[in-house]
Amino acid sequence: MKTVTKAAIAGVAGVTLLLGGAGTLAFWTDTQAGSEVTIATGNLDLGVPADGSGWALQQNAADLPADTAEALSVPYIAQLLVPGDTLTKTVNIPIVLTGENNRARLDVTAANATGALDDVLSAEILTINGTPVTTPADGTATVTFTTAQVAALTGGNVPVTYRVAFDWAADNTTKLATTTFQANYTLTQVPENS
Amino acid sequence: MHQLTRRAAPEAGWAARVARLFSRQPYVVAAGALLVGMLVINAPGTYALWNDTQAGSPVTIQTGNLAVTISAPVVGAVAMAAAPAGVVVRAGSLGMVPGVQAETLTYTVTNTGTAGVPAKLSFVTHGHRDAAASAAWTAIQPRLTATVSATGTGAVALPTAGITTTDAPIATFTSAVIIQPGATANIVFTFSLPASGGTPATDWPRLLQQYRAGNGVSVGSLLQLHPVVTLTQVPRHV
Repeated sequence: MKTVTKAAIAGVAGVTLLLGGAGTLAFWTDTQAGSEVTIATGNLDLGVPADGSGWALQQNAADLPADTAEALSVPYIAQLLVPGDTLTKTVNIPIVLTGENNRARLDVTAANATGALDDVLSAEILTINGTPVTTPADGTATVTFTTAQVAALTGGNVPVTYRVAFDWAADNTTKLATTTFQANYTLTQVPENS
Repeated sequence: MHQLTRRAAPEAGWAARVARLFSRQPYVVAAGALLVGMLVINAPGTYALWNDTQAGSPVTIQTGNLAVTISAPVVGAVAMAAAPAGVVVRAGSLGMVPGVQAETLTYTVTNTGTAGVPAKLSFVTHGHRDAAASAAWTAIQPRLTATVSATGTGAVALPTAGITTTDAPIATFTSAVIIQPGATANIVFTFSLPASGGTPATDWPRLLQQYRAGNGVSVGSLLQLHPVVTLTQVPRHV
């Protein structure tokens, strides 16, 4: 390559570099920043369950007339239970669910008793937010809420009613036994379109 | 020399074989990555979702008890008819006086359950006769009237003909008697003999007196009955 050619190439390269370097070759310029957008996330929260109406004790034996079985109940104050007794309770579950596309599933698990009362005490969810539900075999009843539904809740609470029943056919091995019953609640986000 | 080098090389281990497999089979690597990704997505807690959990306040459930006690029998007497002329029954006397006074044995049954549950009374009457009084028993048994009743129920006759010297159940009594928690009910056995009668005509009082004199024991030992009581839970609001 000739010397002249080399020089021409070097010159063109130099000019190009000069033009490409910011601020190194004067042009009129102006800059603006777009308006800021603040992004805030929503929330999904379960509060501490509150014992609403407390436990109600009823005798719901198999051969008890239907019109008396549910009508007669007394507050449960740790009376000793006998076969045929049922304990019913409504618990208020505080729920916070915010966010345009937030949607959550509330799982209520009424755990069965263990020990001597394992086979004779059964727990079931009766209603969630006033809607009758059927407790499946795994003991977990489920209801899904939208933010709008949660916003419409009275006091932000979901009332959950469940019942523990002492089998009328329980035998003498269930006398003088003790067990502890506890329900568990889980709120889990689900896709908006689910 | 070549063989020595191959034996000493670390590529002879399993790690080297896996490395060679992945280097030669890029599809194996891709499949492995896909599998790991699927596991990550499906594993609980690894695919992020907002969630919160609360446990409800526990309640302790305690069952009660249903229990029954039965007292020792209390001996008493009830009048059957006015004493005939010449027969004097001492005031306050107990035991049978044929044709005049019946003997009673009263058992008191108490619902002592701790659960406050009412229960229905039933019982099985067991009985046996005195082995040493076979002759007297044979003569007296056909004329003996034995009944049992529970509080609030009518008397039911007890079959005494089959009673042997071995204690055994002789009758089952299933009543509608409900005993409330802490309450009691009575089971009353009544024994009576007629003053006379039968074929051939027999002087029962005399026979009984002979039996008593001959055995030197009370009439009660001629026949002994006792109830085996069961209380069965009934619904609270019945």
